[in-house]
Amino acid sequence: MPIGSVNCIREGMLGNELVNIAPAAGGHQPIGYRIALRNQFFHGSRPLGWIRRLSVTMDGVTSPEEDIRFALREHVFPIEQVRQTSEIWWQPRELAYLMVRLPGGAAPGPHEVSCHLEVSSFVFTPFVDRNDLYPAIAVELTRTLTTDNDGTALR
Amino acid sequence: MKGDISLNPWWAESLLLGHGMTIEEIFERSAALGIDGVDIQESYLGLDPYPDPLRIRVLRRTLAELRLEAISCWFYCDLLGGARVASVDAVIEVVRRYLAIAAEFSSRYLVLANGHTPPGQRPEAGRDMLMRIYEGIAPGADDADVVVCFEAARAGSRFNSPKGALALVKEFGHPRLQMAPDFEAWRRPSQAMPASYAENPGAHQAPPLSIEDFRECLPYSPYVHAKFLEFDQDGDDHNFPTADLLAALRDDDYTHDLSVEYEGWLPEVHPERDPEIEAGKAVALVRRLAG
Repeated sequence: MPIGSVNCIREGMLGNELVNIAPAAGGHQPIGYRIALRNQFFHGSRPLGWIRRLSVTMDGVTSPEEDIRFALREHVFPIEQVRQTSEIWWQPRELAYLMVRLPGGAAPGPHEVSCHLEVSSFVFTPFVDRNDLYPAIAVELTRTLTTDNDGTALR
Repeated sequence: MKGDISLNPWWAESLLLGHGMTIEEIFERSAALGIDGVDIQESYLGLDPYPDPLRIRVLRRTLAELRLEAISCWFYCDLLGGARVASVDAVIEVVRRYLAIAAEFSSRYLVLANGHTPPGQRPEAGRDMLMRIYEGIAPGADDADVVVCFEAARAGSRFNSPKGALALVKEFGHPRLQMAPDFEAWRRPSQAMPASYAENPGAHQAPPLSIEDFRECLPYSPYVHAKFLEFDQDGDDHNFPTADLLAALRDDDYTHDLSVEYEGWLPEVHPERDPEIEAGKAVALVRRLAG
């Protein structure tokens, strides 16, 4: 790891989209929203279990972890499963999506969105410190995002 | 200095992560700086968890076209921590795969780190565990014809310090298990650049080592990691005893290849400077003082 206290290039990690998620067939209101997260961590080729905790806050309201899903390629994980996963790796510059359950979705207009990540300080890449023997390193990403649709664009 | 110069593409990490520069383009730009080869980092390999053969093929072809050698392969590693989190056998298995990757690149060196005594374990247990790991990986190093170098960058660490790594490789006594001293252990911390590290920001760091310490490492250091952070108008980096370190390499009887790294692109150092120009200064400094 490099000198100093920073373990990523923060600028650009939170994508510029805030997209409401349409309901399954039969519903009318968005069931939540989605934000994009780009892997700009140093030494960033990592199994998902390297992420130990993750939360999303919008306009000061933090969603409980059980309301968040982590989507990477064709995989969609609850956060509890992210912590246990060693066989699927997040690559440098690769986009993941955080899908947050919020009945009605994000209202039209700008929103202050924060993503709080805690990644393991354990540094043997293929292994996941499932028992949290090593402390985690917190990373806070914040950005003002604007909804650009009425909740029907994304399924 | 009788060895070759490998440029660590870490100089371009902010361009890769922040701007999407490809590894191939980083290699092309590195080649233009007048080097013999590059260091391959694990994050270039598409590990998921095993390397992507297509990535390896593309990287090898790019290097061949540029007439660059993949002098070393680097894996982000804490052998002791891996043994604690998984097992000694699992660590050996992973390192054998790393050796196979290094062999695929025809690399001379595989760079790993011994790591730290895991929480709740005695340092003596760490030493015993490392000896078991060394016993497990030495045959693989012979088979791959790759020298494993334990990077030693933390002046005060029991096993990741130059003194700690030196004691271990001397004790084990295998020609393909050596060390790679990192200039970081000789860095003079300043208020602007304290001795703190992203993986362990609050930890106390020992004072920098002496040139005599560096000389003691050299018989066991076929590969040396020359890290730089900032250059003055004369092209010198005063965060390290650069002239003395490079003179020691130049005057040593052994052949040492050099991994040159520019890390001043970090957000807390000099993100405003062009890392490509600064990496060129790093290569020029090494050529001037160690050549």
